[in-house]
Amino acid sequence: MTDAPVAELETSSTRIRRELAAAVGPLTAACTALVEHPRLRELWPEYLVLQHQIIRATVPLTRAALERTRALSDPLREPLAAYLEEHVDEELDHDEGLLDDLELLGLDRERVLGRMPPPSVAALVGGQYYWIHHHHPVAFLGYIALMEGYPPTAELIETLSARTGHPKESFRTFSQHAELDPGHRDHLDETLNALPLGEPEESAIVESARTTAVLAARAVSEIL
Amino acid sequence: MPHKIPDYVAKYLLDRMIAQLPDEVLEVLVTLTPEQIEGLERVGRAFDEAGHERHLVTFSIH
Repeated sequence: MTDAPVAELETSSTRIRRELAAAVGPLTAACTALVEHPRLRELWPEYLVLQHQIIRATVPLTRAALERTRALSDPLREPLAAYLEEHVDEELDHDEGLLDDLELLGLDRERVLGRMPPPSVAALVGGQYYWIHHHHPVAFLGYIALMEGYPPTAELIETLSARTGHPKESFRTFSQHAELDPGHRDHLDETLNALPLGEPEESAIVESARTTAVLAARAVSEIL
Repeated sequence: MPHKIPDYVAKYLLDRMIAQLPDEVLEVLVTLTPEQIEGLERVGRAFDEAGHERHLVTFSIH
């Protein structure tokens, strides 16, 4: 029996995750600095506001990608549209959950929604709209890969709760993502492996993921 | 107000790759003598040699 070359055994998700691992450094630095920050207790609500500003765009972004995908005339149209339809269901109302958590920390909804998101958030989300509308909606999978690729762990949530002193109930959205996102990540990986992706499509996904890592890190760093 | 950071303190921060430091900690560091900074470096090296790594975390919700 002859071993097949490694390259032939590699799947799209393996290649994309490897590129992600090499690109996620800035986000790791920003997350670590946040968790270790001496004023974490005061910064935590700011971080949640930032996350809300990002997450509130997830379903509209996915719907925009879905609409563009349905207009495609390439082999990706059907399978990508099927994934994006399911992804809308996976992400519905997560922004509302974050608003509930913020209310527990004393920030009412109007106050959170009234704050203008910073340019880093506009660039992070806005870049995806650009690629969806003016390049190819498959690039949006890179954004999802990064955002869902690093769910918080139960251990991290315990640490955050202890260091901030905030009530455990205010980490409800984080706990839900700790539970759900590993499954969502697997769903995306299965989709990446099943889609008829060529080199240009994989490159677009990787570039989108890299950009997401850099801009998400910038957004977190700005609140420190 | 910006601190005047002695060279030996700046070198310590660089060697330890400390990029973000609370002002309160920097205020203490700039009062230390070169010998005291050397003591801190020895403690840091001992942590490194004992395999005590900084716990890096990456997380995101979507």
